[in-house]
Amino acid sequence: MLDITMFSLAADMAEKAGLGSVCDYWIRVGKTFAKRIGTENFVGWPQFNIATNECRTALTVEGVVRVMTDMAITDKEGEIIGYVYALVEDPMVACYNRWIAIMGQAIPPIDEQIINYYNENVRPTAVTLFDPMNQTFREEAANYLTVADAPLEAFQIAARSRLGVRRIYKPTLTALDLDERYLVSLLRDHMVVYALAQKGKIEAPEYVKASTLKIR
Amino acid sequence: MAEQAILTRGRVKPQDLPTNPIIDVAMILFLEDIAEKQGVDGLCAYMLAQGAALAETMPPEDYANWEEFLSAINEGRSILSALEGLEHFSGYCMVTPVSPFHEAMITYIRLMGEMLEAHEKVVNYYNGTVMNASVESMNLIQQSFRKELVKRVTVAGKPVRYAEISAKAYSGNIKLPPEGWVEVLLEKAEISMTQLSMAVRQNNSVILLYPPGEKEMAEAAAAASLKVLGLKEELKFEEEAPAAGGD
Repeated sequence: MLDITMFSLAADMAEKAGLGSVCDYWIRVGKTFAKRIGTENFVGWPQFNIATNECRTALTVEGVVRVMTDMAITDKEGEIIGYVYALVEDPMVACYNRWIAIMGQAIPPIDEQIINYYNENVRPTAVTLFDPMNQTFREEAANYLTVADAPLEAFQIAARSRLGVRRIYKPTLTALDLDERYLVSLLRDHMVVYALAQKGKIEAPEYVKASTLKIR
Repeated sequence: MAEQAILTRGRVKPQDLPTNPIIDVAMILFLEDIAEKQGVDGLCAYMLAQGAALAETMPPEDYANWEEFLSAINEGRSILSALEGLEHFSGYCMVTPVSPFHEAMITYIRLMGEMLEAHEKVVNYYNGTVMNASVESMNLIQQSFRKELVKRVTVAGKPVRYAEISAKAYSGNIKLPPEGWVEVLLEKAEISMTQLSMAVRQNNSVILLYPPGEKEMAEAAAAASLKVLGLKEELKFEEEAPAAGGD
């Protein structure tokens, strides 16, 4: 039931404090969420990937995450420093479906308002009103994960909305040297695509981290 | 998968559609953030406003008579049963078998451990200042939602009356009405103390939903017949005594 209250809560907050405040609050919740789940360490990438497939990591609390084992990220020496991961279903989809079925009406306009605000003022990666929270959560949770004692970093790559809108974040594509055609095919069966890599190993000068932004 | 579940509409009740409890957990964290920033009174006000705002978004309903209303409740067609799966128990007593918030609380506890003290504080604040009927923080949203929602449901043109009887927390703690109120509520609900014990044991919460009084019904019928005849409303009836319990 709490998921259904989200739309009226967001609309109320936006009316009182503005859309920036709602994004700000969601980002803070994402940070708190990741912090409260705590730290995890895995011996190596194979162990981490098995744990991901078995839904045992902090990042799988969102739902089923698949490891793209053919998409290993390597450094200049050819050593694996990370992988591409894909979330099968966006966490908000169930909430949208329930709203439409229970309330018998279209998704309230606040959804699009927050998405537009975030895409215009933060970074163009949101497809749901809760993406400021979800994307921040992934980026923050990665900071609490270590693989072979090396801390990780998450990179938002792409998202597909319930209605099929695709948001592919170009700076990450460039930084990870990914083919856009591959992503489009990946988005057929997945709704969120992101990468996890050893912290500091990916040079992404134009990449904007949602968790580090001050919106207001 | 929720995307596939939506295709089965007509065979699955809306309230049985799958949820992603992560969204609910994030909402609990958001409420805790409000408690930290605005205090327990701020959180209480926010939760009550949320329940009310959600109810105001739901479409109004009108039923020809009480039997039609009860059948809509039992079949999950009414807005009163759409979110929390309300069911008819006996007389005018209704029950919610499972709290719509407990899945979120279970996930929260599984992922992050014990819930923050703010939840207990807001319950005490609400019981002391608003209505002495909650046993866990989510009751604030639930009860304010119900209070507003019943105003949107009419039977024979008159709003349904409502009162809280009991609530059970995830911890198993039970909140019963203050002494003196129990007899009044049981009489109104047309159930015995034993039946109330049965309802409390088997369900998450027990509420009273009852039709407007006979005079109100007669007034509505008279107004309707005058309308059919194209006449102005001239008949006046004495006002009924205020509802017991609830708001």
